[in-house]
Amino acid sequence: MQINFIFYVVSTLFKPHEKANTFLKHLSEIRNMNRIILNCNQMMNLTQLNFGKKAIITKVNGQLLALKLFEMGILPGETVALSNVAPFGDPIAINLSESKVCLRMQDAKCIEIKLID
Amino acid sequence: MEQKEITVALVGNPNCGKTSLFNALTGLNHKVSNFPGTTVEKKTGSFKLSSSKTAHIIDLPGTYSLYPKSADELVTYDILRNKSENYYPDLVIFIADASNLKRNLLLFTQVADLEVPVILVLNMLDVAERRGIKYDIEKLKEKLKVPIICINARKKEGIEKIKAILLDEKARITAQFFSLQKVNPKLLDEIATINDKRNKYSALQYSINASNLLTEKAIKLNEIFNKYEFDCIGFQEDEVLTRYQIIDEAVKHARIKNITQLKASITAKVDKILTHRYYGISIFLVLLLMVFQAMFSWSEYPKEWIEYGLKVFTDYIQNTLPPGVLNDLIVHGILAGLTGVLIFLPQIILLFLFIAILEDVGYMARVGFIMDRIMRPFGMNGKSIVPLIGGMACAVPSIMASRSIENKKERLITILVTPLMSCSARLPVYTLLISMLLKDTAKWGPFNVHGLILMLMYLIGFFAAIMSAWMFKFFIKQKEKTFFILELPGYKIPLISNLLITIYEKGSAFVFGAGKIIIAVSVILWVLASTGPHSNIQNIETKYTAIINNDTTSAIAKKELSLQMNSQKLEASYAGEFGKLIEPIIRPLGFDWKIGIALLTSMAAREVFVGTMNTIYSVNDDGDNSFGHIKTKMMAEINPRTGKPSYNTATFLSLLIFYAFALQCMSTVAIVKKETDSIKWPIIQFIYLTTLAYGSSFLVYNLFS
Repeated sequence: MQINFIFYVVSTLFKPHEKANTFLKHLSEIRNMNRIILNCNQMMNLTQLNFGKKAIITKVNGQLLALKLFEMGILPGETVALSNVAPFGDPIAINLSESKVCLRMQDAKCIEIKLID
Repeated sequence: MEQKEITVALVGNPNCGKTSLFNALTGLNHKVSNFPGTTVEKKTGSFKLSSSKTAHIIDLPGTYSLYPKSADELVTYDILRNKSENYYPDLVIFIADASNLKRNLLLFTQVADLEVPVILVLNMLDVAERRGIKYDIEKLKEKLKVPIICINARKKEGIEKIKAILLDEKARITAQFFSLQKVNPKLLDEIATINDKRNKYSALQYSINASNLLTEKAIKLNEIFNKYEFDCIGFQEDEVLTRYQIIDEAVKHARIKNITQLKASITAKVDKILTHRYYGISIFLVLLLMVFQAMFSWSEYPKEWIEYGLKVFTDYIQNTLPPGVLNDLIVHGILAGLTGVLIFLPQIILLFLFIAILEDVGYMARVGFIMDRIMRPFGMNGKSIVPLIGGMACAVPSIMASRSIENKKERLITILVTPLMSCSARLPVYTLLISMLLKDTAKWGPFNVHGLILMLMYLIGFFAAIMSAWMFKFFIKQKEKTFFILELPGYKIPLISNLLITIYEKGSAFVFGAGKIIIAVSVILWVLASTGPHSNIQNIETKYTAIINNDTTSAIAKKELSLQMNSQKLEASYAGEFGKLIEPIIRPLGFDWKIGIALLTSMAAREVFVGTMNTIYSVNDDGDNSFGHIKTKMMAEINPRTGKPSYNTATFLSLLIFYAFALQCMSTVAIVKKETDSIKWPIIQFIYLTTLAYGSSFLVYNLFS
């Protein structure tokens, strides 16, 4: 993890053509990530969520996919729980606060979560 | 001046009770068609508001957002955006599911920002209350600033309130939620010069969408976006999240109580079983078996009644109209075509009754869920399994049923391969051919070989469908990127009125949509089979009529002679000519011109093959025994060119394979044309399936002879 961050910072520093605000954005992102890492030691994605556990969505990756997920109510800050797994282990159904949505594993991978007790 | 008529658009998420509200408002007073140039279903209807005022209502497809990503969303967006659009509404009725208010309101704020007057209709408050969610409507009104009406669409409660507010012109209020503060105003101005729209939000939205196309305008738009370093998707993401913040605030403000810890709902309990690893698939297969059984055997009785009724009617017409060309045209052309159309109705009604129940209950989404992994490698969707299995009874209603597949590519693949499933019309053909292939008593261990071969034919059809789907996956390009993200709605008891309306819609869509084509083709086939290029037909008829009318001929001989006359007439007709014309083409498959005729007439329906063979071999079609007669006659046939029997094992096997693959069903072609709204796809399908049939038959014939 640490090495990744160093690489991230260094690579950003060595791109002088990039705008200063982009750099600041990256910095704030790194700060955010650090905060998450400090708060809980594991970064998980939705495919790693087990039955009976609850989690909060921290980030949704994948541009168009993220948009679609937001529209379906899967957005940062929402609480999720695993509801059902289809017969061959894929897709999965998740419970959101007000609805139940099913999605394929490949798309679930793009959803980062944080476990809550 | 007061308006006499107003146009209202009904907008909302899927599964929010939109159809129930539409049905409650219009009853049967509505029409179903497609939006021009699309396969998106358009429902329009009208209802009386007062003695002097009518409302025209258009049901827009259920979507989750207004970003035009799919055809459904594009239609909704185009209508609400463009004031010069034919269906541009005076007012939008936005129906929202109160048990899932946050997500429903996302689309609501997007619609409102297009500056069209909106009223918000809250449905399913009872479901919300059961989940411990309750709203203070006045407080919600404060935040959302539009009129709010609470209804129960299933119980038809609150419908009058909607009608009352539609009459009240003061209630036509527009609201605004999202502001374009963060966007560079210069960018907005420049976009406005290209897209002359009064609403800046809509202009930006439209431009983002248009910039994905490969037009000159798009290049220009992209230049502008690049100039201002505008990130389209980033902006959209940001917009959606901002809207959620606004909504969250409103919803929290209006929420009365919130019990987060609830007992497992009924839906969760039922889902544990219905989507279970083992039970889930077993239950689904049992349900499918029932649907299949119903389409296959229950539909036989109403089919017989329709056949009988039309036969009585046809006989009546035949006997009352003076004999001649007109009589023949009506009886053998138009009425035969009409029978061909109506005969499908029982199967369509039964399949759609089942599908509508499963859909309304909420089970169809689960079918997609549990079957997705199995169907995915073949370029299909979990929901494709229903049309595929339905295709074993009849491809026509099954292709209509593929509408429930949202993804365009997966839906198209399903439509293209469904006719490969062995349908019930192939059964008489298979039975006849297999009985010619083997003795009735042939056994293999404890099994009857006939049954085994029949099962093999069904399996061959299934595998051909799966493999073709896999192949099409690589050839069909997809314009829109779609994801398999499906809402699993709570289980509900289906409403009988909704079921009946769905069946009525599907039945009439088939009869008036595909029916026209079927009757037209039936008339053409009749003309081909009853007229010929030379005067031979007339000569044959006069020759035989003279003998038949001779009193000295015995009754049995008369019958035999009239059968012979029909056989010779068919040979002299255009159909006969056609058979002879294509003989060189089909000879490599082991077919002669007689089978060529049958291939042509089979286009009406595959089982016509048996009838045509009867006519060609002048066999009296007396039901059960005709198989035996025609078998004897066909086996005795000697090919004049080779001096050997015309038909052998290889011929029959080749014919079996040909019938398993070829698209010899004009009803299927007609329905594919209607469902894909193109001529291209039925043509591609026809060519593909004919090539597949020809190639496989050629292989089989040469392997076995």
